[in-house]
Amino acid sequence: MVCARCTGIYLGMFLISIYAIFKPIKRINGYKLLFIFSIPMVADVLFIGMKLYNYSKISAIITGIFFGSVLFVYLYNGLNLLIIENRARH
Amino acid sequence: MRKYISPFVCGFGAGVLQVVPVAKSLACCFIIPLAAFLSLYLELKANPSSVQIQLKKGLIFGLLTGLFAALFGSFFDIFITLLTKNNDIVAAFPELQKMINGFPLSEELKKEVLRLFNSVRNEILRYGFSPLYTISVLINNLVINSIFGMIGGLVGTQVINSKFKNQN
Repeated sequence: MVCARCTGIYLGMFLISIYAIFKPIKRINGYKLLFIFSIPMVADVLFIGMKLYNYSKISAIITGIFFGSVLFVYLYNGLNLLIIENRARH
Repeated sequence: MRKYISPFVCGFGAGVLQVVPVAKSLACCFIIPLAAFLSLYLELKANPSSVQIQLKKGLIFGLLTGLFAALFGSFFDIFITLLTKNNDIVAAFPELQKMINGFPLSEELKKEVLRLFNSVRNEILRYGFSPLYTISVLINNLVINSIFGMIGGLVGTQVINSKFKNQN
């Protein structure tokens, strides 16, 4: 079984991967986007830990989708570069 | 082994955080990739280089960080269960029963799943150890942590290499 947050991450990655089939994803340099998109997820966990509000599956899924979608963009770039690196080596 | 000391250290740290109550809800999806990134960063600090990090190296470091985190995290989880004779399965068993009963499955299958969970719960309450729980925790952590570790390694390499580009 997978938690709601991880389901959100997988869902975000899946949705962006579907989008990537139809429209190529531009390469992103730097890590600002990754940092910005991870803030809601970290804040959600911290606020729940501080008991500011109760755990909600909906907020966990939504913040997971945010993080997962941008994580896929970086993963996609990384895999592309890895393939290029391997081709250059051989 | 010396070559891979930073994945070992970061894997250990991530393994510890996997059993810390609030932090563990972010363990697989955030802490493991972060640990993989930190292992690369520590490696770069230990062996400064003006050349960009190869993605293959990032992938290997991420994988190793994930594997070490899985081994240490599973060990701490099982050890704490052994000492306290309590864990998440025991605590959440009534909720788990309700949830499984709500699944669109046949009655026989539901009974079988609940019987398995119940046997795990009873073993943990009696001995503090369940072979089925141990194996499932270990396999689950090994698979998920190594995948997220590799993702963290790949993303971390790009982040570090982008810093190189900015400096140049």
